[in-house]
Amino acid sequence: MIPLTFADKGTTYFIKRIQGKDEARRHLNNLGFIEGEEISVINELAGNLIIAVKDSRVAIDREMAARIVVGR
Amino acid sequence: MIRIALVGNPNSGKTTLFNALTGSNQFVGNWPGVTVEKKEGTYRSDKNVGITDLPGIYSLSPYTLEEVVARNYLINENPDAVLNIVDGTNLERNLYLTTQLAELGLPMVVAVNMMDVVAKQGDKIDTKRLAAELGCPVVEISALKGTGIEKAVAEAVQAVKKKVKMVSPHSFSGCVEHAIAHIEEAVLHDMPDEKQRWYAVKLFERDKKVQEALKIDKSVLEHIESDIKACEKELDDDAESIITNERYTYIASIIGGCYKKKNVGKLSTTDKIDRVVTNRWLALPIFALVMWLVYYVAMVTIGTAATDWTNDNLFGDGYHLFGIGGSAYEAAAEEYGDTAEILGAAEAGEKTYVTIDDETMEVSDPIEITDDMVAEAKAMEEKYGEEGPDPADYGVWVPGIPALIEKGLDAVECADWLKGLVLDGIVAGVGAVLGFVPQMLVLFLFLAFLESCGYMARIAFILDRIFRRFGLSGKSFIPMLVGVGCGVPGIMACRTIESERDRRMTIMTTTFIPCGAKVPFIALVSGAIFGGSAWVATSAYFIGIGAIICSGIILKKTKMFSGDPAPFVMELPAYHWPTVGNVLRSMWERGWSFIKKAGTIILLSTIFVWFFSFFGWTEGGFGMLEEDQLDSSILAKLGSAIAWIFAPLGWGNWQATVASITGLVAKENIVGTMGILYGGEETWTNMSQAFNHLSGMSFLIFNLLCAPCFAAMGAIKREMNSGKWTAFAITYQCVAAYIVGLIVYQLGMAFTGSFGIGTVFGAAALVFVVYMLFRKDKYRI
Amino acid sequence: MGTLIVLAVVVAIVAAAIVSIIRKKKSGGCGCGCSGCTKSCSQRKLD
Repeated sequence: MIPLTFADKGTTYFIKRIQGKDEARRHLNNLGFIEGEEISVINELAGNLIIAVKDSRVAIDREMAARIVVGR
Repeated sequence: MIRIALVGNPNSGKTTLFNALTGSNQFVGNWPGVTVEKKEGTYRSDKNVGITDLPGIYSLSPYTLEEVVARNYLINENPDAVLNIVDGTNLERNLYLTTQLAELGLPMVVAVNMMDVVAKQGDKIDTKRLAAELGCPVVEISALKGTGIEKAVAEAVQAVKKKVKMVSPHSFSGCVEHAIAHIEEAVLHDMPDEKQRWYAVKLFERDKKVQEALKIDKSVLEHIESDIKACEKELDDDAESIITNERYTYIASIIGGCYKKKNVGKLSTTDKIDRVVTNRWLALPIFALVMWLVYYVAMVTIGTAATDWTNDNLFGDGYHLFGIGGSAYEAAAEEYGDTAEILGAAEAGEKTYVTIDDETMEVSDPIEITDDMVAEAKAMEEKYGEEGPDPADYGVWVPGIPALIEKGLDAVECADWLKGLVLDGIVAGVGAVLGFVPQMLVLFLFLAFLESCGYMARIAFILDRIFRRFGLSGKSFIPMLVGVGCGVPGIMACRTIESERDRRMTIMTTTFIPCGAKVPFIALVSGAIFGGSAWVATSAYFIGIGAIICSGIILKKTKMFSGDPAPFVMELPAYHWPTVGNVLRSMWERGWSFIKKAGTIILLSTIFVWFFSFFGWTEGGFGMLEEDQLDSSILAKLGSAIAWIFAPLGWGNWQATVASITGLVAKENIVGTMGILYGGEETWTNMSQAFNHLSGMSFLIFNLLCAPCFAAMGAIKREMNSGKWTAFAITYQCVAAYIVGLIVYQLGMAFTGSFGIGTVFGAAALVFVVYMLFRKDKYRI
Repeated sequence: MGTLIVLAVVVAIVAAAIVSIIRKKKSGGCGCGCSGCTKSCSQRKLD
């Protein structure tokens, strides 16, 4: 289990947990980031990530990514 | 009248659908009290069907403004049906909202949009199966192509007529349903059956707004609370998460049977483009290239060419239709050459003559007059007459608007003063602005294209980390980019910034970037005071960017704006070619309001300036003044009363003061006002005498940074939604403009050897700014 | 005479301009139509 910030590009991961209970987390939920969901990293730029989740692409910053714990 | 509510995710094509369904029968306003857009219209094919476009939302939670506005409409305004638009290329995530809408009890129809893209990707959606699973009609549509949209509305109308009561087929797990049943019993038994479910689920999630709205007794709340807690214990998760997860689980369970993807796990075209465009080495260069391209084409090439043509021809003397007769006239004019100037000077006994460039008003070096030249000049005068060749004699000549109007006024024997008002005031002022319309249109076209194709979102992502250093986020850049065209849409673009702090800060600084209206002013300063140096124009943009960056740094360290940077979470829509129609329409919408502004605000202000500068007190009493008596005008008196404020900045004369003030109405006015007050053709000469390089720079800087035009100030007020904040923003801008102007002038003068009391102030101001920039940020962890 | 006609025209235009400005202010200030809007007004927090 690793934070999303350490994920490899292109590999599929499962979300184990999203830390925190704030607005940002709810926003992520609304966008499809929930426990058990399959995601992968499309690209990374200065720590910010573009994530493929369900059929959409969501850009998140590295602080946010650090709160998403994923595993294989 | 049947009212249908259009609901769906952002980027699902809702706006396109709304436009397709209502055509031009739409009314756009704001939801009362908030800056969220409200769109209502009537269905093109049936005037009895009204369509309300609700803001794009991802869920019906009570956390964002858009969500609350949307759900309040759905619960309180009782639309007859809900048309849920769903992005077919993103079905799973979109259905998350659908499951919530289904619980409202309103007749619902699901329209799966972008079916054309789905087909192209080779994916298949089993709409029959989906309809069965969701418990409501499902229609395939492509809002872009216009297919299926009539059917969607027809189904909705049918549902209303048949008085269908929507019941969500989805059940949550045991203990949740148990708690929901309790809640319905305890609190909601008065409500119609089909409405209860949504409220019950919300109460289970501890939705504060619903609790308030239903005015639930504290004891009852506690009672429900125990049920919820029991459930949370059993499922080992918090109530909201339980609901969220179960919704997605439900969707996942039905999606397998309804949605067959062709290319599972492979990179889409969008992904491939993003791999390049957001690549760590290529991202910024590509971005810089795109920016340069937009600026170059809109401002430098096409834009300027079109503006020049408009200013010189349409609003100038006139033009040859399709160029017929143009070359013949030009040959004649060249032969005629400087005849008028030569003869004029010779007759006055001068040995040399000068020419004045029509456009730049530049005065040439004196040219010696030889006898040969005089003789030839006389011959030319014989050939072409005293006034020289008349373009109207060659080919097909269309007189410019001012010429036509002048003819008209002469024909009805209009009084001189009124002629002056119409031609020198109205036509000159408004015409100058309208001359920029072509440039603006090109810029708006580019910006519309960038927005629609999806690249704008990527820009925010690319610049985010850089902007964070200055206390802003990547999303702050888009308003600035849009602001290069016009500050008003730029300020409105700040809506996409979620963090209120960041949004307020961006609104405040967006207008530092020179907008289209400031361009003629920059050109004026550059030409009249700096001899046409190209550096002035470039520096204007850098000054703007610098002001934004410094403002970000300074403000982030103040209590008001401090705080953790807002998290950056943004959906990136798939790239797609925007439809020509949409782009053109967007361009035209913005261009048209630009034109309308010219016909209203600028019109009124040119009349105002004209009147108050051509009337005043002379020896003869009160009356109309000659061009060289303007110092006695009402405007001069008013201006002089305030002009001293700007003396420390080097330009404490009434003309510059008045010009700056008229600039508040519209930045284009600065040029127009200076033109009237500094004597038309002599403007440049007079200005170069009134300003030196430093005061000219400070004058430029002040007007670049100070409060924007009224229209922009209005936009600031609307987006800030608070008079207090608006006042703060405007004050900040004016103070910043003053301080920078002060520093530049005073320290510049000190550098060149003139010390004075002003130098002390200038130095103090500089120390203050440096301190604000570099002091320790006590709010950063 | 001609002066009066022209004056009447100018006054009419000015009046139309003023009316149009007031009407725009009354409509509560719009989200769009001013200089056109950007696309979806997306998520924003309350309070």
